[in-house]
Amino acid sequence: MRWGNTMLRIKAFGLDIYGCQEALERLDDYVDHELSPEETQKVRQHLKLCHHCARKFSFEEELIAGMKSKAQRIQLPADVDAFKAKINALLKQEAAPESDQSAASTN
Amino acid sequence: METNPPSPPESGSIGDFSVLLEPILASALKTATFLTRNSEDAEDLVQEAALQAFRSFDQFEQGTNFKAWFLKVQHNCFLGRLRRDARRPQTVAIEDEETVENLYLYEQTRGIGMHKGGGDPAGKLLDRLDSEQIALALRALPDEFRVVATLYFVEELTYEQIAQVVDRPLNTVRSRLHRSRRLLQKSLWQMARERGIVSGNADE
Repeated sequence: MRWGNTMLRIKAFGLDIYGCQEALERLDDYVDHELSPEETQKVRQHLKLCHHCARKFSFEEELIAGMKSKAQRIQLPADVDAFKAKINALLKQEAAPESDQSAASTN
Repeated sequence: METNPPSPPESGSIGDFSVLLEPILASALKTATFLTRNSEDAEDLVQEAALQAFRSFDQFEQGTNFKAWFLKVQHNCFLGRLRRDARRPQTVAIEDEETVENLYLYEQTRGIGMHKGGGDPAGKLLDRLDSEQIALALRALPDEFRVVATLYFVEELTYEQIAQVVDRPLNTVRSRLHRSRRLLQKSLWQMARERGIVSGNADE
């Protein structure tokens, strides 16, 4: 591939830049900001030079961010306030065993 | 002069514990709903986790992330339930059968011409999907993928935090998460096609 050859030539000139393959292998980690600062920088440099990869990366970034924000908006079937009250009552009962239960175990 | 570290909460005192638990209960319940795939079981799971966490609250290190700590307790309760039901977490079945390539939705949307005319093809696809479809796709994942994907998409935890919650090495979490994202992409695409949300002739 011509682009691959170009990348090899760039490498031969002593510039340490990722090729498409190396950049794409890091797609998921890049999107999640889980790469080291050096790797992030090298991916960014590649994306500046390669608009094919830039399109793929930006698609994936948009997609994951969008899925996350939709996941935040998933509605719970339960009545959360009633559930919170239930948990509170449960904890109170646990904290004060003598009120409802025998005070056998105070840890 | 050094300030004293906050004293550990008294056993049996619910004040400090409730203050930390209250704001995360709704999302813990949401996560539990994905883990158990059933809202009744989810409430039971969160209740069990809340009691368990309260009883071992002295093990929580003040100043660290309470949500991650609680989710870890909840995750252990979930595993305990699977064991009680004599069910091992599902793991490799889908993995072996289905290898979904990277950038699945990128290729599919490109295949039906959604990238023509520029714009934002991922945004165009997302505009046509709603939260309920994301929820269905998440719920359909096998246990071990569903757990990490829920912690990632719903709780928005980092890889490191997820690894702590599920008590697995970072690289295991990373690869499960990456695979689960591909499975999610495939399942979202299938839903989109079945429901006529996207149409086109280039497919698989």
